[in-house]
Amino acid sequence: MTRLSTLLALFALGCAPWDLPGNGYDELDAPSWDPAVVAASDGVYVRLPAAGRLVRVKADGTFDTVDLGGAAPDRMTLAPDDETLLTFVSWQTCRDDDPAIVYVDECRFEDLDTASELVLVRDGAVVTALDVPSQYNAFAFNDAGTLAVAYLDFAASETIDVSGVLNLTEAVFVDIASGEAHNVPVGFAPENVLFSADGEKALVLSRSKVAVVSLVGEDAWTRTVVYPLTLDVDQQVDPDNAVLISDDDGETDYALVTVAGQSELYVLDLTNESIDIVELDAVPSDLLVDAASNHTLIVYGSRARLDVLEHELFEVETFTLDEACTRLAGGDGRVLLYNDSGRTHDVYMFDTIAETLHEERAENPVIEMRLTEDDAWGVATMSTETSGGNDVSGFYDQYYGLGLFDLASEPRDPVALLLEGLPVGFALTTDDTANYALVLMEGIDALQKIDVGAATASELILEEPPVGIDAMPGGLFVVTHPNPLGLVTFVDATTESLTTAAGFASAGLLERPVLPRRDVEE
Amino acid sequence: MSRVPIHLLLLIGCSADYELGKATDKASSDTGGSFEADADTDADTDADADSDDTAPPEDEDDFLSLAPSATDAYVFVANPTRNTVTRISVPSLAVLTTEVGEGPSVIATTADYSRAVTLNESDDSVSIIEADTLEVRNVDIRPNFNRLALSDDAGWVMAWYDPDLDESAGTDDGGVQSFNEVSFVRLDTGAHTPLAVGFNPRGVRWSADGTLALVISDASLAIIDLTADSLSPVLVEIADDPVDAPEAEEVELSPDGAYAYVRQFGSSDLVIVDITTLAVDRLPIGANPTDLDLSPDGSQLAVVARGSRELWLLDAADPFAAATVVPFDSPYGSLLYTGDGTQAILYTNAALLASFGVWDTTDGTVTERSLVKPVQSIGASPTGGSLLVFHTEQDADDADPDSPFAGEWALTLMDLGDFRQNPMLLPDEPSSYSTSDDGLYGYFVMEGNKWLEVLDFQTLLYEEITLKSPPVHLGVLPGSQTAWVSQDHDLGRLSFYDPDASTLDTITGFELNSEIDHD
Repeated sequence: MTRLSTLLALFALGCAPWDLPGNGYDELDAPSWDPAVVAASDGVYVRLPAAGRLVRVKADGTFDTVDLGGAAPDRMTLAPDDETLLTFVSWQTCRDDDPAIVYVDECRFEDLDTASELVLVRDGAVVTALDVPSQYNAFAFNDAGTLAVAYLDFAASETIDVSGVLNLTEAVFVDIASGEAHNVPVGFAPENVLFSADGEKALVLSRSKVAVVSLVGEDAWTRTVVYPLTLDVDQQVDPDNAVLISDDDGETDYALVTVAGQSELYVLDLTNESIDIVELDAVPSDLLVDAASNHTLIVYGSRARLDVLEHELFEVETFTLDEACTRLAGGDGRVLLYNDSGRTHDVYMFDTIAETLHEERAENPVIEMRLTEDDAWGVATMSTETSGGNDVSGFYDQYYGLGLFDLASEPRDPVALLLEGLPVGFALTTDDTANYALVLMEGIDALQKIDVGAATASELILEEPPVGIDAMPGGLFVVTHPNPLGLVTFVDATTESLTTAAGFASAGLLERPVLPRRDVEE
Repeated sequence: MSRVPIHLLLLIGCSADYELGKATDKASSDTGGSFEADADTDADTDADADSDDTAPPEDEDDFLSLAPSATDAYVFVANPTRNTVTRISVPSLAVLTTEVGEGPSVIATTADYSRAVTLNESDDSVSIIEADTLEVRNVDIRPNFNRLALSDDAGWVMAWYDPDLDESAGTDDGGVQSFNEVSFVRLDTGAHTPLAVGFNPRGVRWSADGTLALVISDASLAIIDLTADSLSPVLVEIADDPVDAPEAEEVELSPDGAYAYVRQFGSSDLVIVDITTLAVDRLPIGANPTDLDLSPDGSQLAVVARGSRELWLLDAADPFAAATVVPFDSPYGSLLYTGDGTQAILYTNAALLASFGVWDTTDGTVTERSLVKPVQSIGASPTGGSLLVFHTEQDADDADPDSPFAGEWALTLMDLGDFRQNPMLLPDEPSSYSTSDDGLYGYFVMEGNKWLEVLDFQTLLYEEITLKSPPVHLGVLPGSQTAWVSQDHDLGRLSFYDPDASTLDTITGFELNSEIDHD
């Protein structure tokens, strides 16, 4: 069976190749393309697992293949600059150095090995290749997007491939501009990385410790201080959430660290290298630093209260809520408080300067809340809920919804929009005139476009049913479709124009896999 | 958690002295051992009062057992298991930690607040810590010492072995052990001078001009000239029978340094040592003298003879001049001068007596006044305006069983001008007490209760401040009204209360600082 027959089989089936049934034809051992695309400023990057290729699909509908030197992309992450794609790639090697062996299927199975590296891709081309173990399954970036830290995220441990020796106490700092990588011992099972506003240090949170890594000067890429979170080596203290506090000069003074299941808030003084613990009333569920007031806001899933922590003596001022909130969003003068646990409806807007709470109500429990780019609106998807009422609320309870929450100082009443189906994709974008939300619903072929400020909705008819949606830098939306040969639609929310790119998943699909990076006999 | 019974902690004068009295508890950041009982700040009234501290020894591994020590700007906390000292700045609450010798078991600050000193039992050293810079000098001393005393002029520290702290002392490491040794360390140079003095040294008294140190033992007094190039003790026998010397209980030094006065257990004589001639004289001072005090101005020596119910008053500069004897009616055994020296309180805690006497030092009269309950201990505000009486849980024999105070802990706040009283019922026994230097506020805590009790000495009212966890030690920052309270917490907790601003600032987890790894 040739690759062509496989491809023909895909055409014949007209269904998702990753769902191919056993039908007498050869099956692809991997999907032809991964709809979890990455939307960068220069286009959408798409992995082609079956062909082992990475393609860039541009907004004009064209696409090209990124030359990975014969390697296949395994995982990719977009840096905050929206331009640099960090991609772990791998390729097969053959221990048998017989120069006649060119293709993978010519090497005995027991002689096959896999090599990997991290490549930085910009503008459709590899700019740097780094020897970073592929087991690192998470990246953290500084705000400027100039630095990435690769670490092991044990929350996604299924993606960690323990082949050979795996150092669980290291993180790899990657200078995105220069492509230099530095291994730094940071503590067991690093879970989170924060960067100081001045760019001079990074904090790596690991089990029972917080390590400070210098990023500049003679100490660059070395661990300078390690803060313990317990004195008992038998006690496991897992950092849960953390924020950094900077002074007016932008110098980072403190790190606030919450610990899983504990009501203590660790205050790490990064200047004097000391630790204080602020005892909170309950286990915090979220914390957020508000730049305008230079206070930290804390909410609790088990307490109907908002705590505001000042940054001098770390004293807490408490604001009573009607219902507990689990999440905070915003952080520059106005902050939204909401509950994503599905139990309550209250949404609060807290003015951090005036220290006033404005209470609103989501018609149904919030699934997810996002802020528009200008922080003017909170847009929430909402779930259905059980209701016995026959009134309007009861009617609304039967449907998923979209809530629009105004963050202005004199906020307008929130808007509750009914959705026909379960929202499975949700993206926000903005242009010079308006904020838009595009909502993708399960089983619905069309996209719903919502002008957030005007609270108006329109329907965008797509060529094929969508399966995913993302926002591109610059204001376009990208919609993916379950087409085996690859299909994405670029949506201009302002003009409602659609540009389709198709067929990119066929790139390299028929080629016989070679053993790359190997001297081939002339 | 063991604690220091409050009757051992009450003192007059500045707060820094409060926990230094006759406490035999290791928790005291003592500056002189038993014999530093400044103005007899303790409440012992009988001959065995010094042995009535039955508080169990502290747990070595529990840093909270160590009382912090404060200056006007910092509180120092020793961390014995991590060989560090944590400095907490006030009011910023900035925390810095520095390494000291091994097993710091006592920490004290010098009178000029320039340094803190730890006694490190595990490696037999003292660490001299510069308060501002945290620069540390470790000085080796003689082995097995467990007590520390700083001189009043901040120039010297003396370390010695106190058998009362035997459980926590490093006395079981084998080898030769001496019970006659002390170590003197000069704080500016770190020079160490070991000396052999009398058997079982019990404490040291420093002369006001900083030139002399008197180390008292049961049978002898060692006089050390601190101005000499090389320190050496001059030993003066003070016991009639050196073979069976009575226990020396208190020593005082005349302000001019001419005489040392020693009160001995079971003796009706006061031992007077002429520091210049080394002559030893004995003066009869009534039956069963139980307390010895210098007046706040240092001019007068007062001895309470409980057996004969007399107050013997001697001229401190000329003890051989005729003494004045003031009789009183009740069996009081302790004397407490008010800060201004115009009055002194006579009381007892050796018997369940629900009264006290007020001796007017100007006219010599003693006026007895009643209390709601017997006295466990008494403290006076530093300015002398108010009195704080902690009562026993037990009642006097003739007490009214229907009294709300019957069988309960209690305290009485009293104005020493018009003797207004405000007796208060307490849920538990007070465990620590302190006052602000300005005499406006007093503080106390009760074991197991998460409150800091604030006493306003002007209004005689109290305020209750809720702490984050049960308090352990209490003090007041010198020169301020701010109280500090160390509390039970695995990682260390210290709170600061400012009564003017009514703010309680708490710092928690400073023990973690000792484990911060600076690569």
